[in-house]
Amino acid sequence: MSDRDALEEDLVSRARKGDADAFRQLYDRHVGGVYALIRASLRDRDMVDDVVQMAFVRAWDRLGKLRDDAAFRVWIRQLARRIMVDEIRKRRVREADSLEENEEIGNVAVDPAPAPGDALGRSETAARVRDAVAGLPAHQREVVTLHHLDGIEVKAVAEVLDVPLGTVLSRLARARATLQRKLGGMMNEGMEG
Amino acid sequence: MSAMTCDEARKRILELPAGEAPEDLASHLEQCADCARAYESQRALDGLLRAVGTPPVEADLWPAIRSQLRPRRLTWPWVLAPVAGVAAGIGLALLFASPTVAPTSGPAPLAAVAMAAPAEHGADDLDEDAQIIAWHARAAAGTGLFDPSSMAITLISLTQGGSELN
Repeated sequence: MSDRDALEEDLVSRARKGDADAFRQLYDRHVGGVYALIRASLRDRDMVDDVVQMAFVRAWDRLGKLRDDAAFRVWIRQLARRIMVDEIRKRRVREADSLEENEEIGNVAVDPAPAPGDALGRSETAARVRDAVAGLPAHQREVVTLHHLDGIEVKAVAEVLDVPLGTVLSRLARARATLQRKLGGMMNEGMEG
Repeated sequence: MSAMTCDEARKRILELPAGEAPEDLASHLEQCADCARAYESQRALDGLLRAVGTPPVEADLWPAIRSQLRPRRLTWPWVLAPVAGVAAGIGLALLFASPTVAPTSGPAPLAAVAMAAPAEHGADDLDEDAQIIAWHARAAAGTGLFDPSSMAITLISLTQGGSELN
């Protein structure tokens, strides 16, 4: 077990006993991934915020039911996605296939603390990549967000999305084929550099 | 086993999880320059996506989340176990005792049950609660009289109490 995993298990254990500071650290570790996953399917930012908040509050309430402390990473994303699906049903505002506004994507992609000199190139690269991902169909966007951007293994992606592994791999293949076409030039630059 | 075709290799490359070594593809990639290029291109895309990572979260959601975190309470099984023990003791006492509870020289069933509670459960956070129950039990054993109203109030206060958040 890595130090990171051991620390995570310790944080989960402490949070289960009522340690809100430990839960804050879990929040800091996972809010980026949870937020990106929900944002991959919803355009309404207020609703994204609501779902992420509800996910962490529910995680706090149900932490006692989590049997494997090491599984928090997958569990919190599962929880968030289920809440999102419920909220969509409630509010009847399914937007899974809608594209993000380009301007919004640009804002999201801006590095808040860019390195001097390299700032423009890095932020433009990130913006282009996130723009390309945002242009994928919703199911492919979720898989790419979880696996590539958030670093979740494909088996765990299948758990989060509650679909067979084969479905994850086929969505991944289609998404990559599209991204290859959209970002081909950028990758060649990277490979040559 | 037949050799892998280029179509099969391309499908496998696209499905290959990021960071996984393509052991089953190795021999094909050694012999096919086009598929080898496709593989390298795929690795480059994977690296680019990983480097970009998840977008920053724009809003600080923690204050709103923190305000909704409920304090942890004693879980019901832990609370109910001593209560159930005391109730069982009372039931046994009523079953075997005469209509008027007489003083006894040894500990009453209630006292025995209540005083055993902390050792049975071994929970640090229940020590104080168990001591209060034991106090009632000792009082009942010493006087031969049991004060059900006082005991009930104590039990209710215990079940409604909970530890505060850190």
